[in-house]
Amino acid sequence: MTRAFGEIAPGEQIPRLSVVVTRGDLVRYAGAADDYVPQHWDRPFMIESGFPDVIVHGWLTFAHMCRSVEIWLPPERARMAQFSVRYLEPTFPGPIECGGVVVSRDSESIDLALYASDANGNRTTTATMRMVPAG
Amino acid sequence: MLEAVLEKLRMRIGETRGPLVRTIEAGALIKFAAATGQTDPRYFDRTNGPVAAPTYISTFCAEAIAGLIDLDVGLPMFLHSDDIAELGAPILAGDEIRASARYVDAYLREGKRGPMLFQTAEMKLTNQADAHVATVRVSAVSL
Repeated sequence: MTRAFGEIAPGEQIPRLSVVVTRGDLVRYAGAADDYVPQHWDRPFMIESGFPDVIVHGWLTFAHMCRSVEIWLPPERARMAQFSVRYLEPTFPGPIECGGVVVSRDSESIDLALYASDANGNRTTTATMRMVPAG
Repeated sequence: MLEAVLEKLRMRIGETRGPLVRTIEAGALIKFAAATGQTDPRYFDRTNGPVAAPTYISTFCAEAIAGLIDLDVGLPMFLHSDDIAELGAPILAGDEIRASARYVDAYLREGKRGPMLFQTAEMKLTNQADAHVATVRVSAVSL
């Protein structure tokens, strides 16, 4: 389902995107993003530090949140102009769900509230995002 | 002890790094798109040159910001706490992106697990035409 910018209304839900993030995905992302901090690959270190597993890179979780937006409103129609992301709790490898809602819209912008939740339904990451018409 | 660390960090507010200059390679954009699960063909288009996926800006953090935020403050763990960004011109293959970073803030909060020391740095990206590409404010917390 793709929508024109002007057809979007406040309250509209962004369809949920379900993703399974594996430890292999974290290694692949570390290479692509040049982010090698041990929190994302050194499981013994994390367990010793009191965490149950390695942590998904915050920017990778947010990349999937952005994907949920672009599947709903493709980049040909709107581009991201601003965002603010909060990593409330660590996200661990496994299923995550991304979604959100349209908070407001005028002729020049759409404001979204987004989330990512883990397998237990905890919202580990939230974001606000402003979209503007493409081009 | 943390107060002394904080005092030292706060003296660094305004400290800058860079600019780091990177020529954007099509292969790197495609590799990043694949690693973030992208499916839109614009992120893989070798014919017209791929466009960077929205969060590709994060790949500048390791070099441009990591050296500014002090991760060795005497607390056992650090985590990414938040990002704020304004996005301008897209990043395209062949672009020459300049990343300049600045140490913005450091402060202490009491958390559930004990003291939490937050640090924020800001990175500005411009392209070869000196157009604004992104301003990204990254915060990390040591705890």
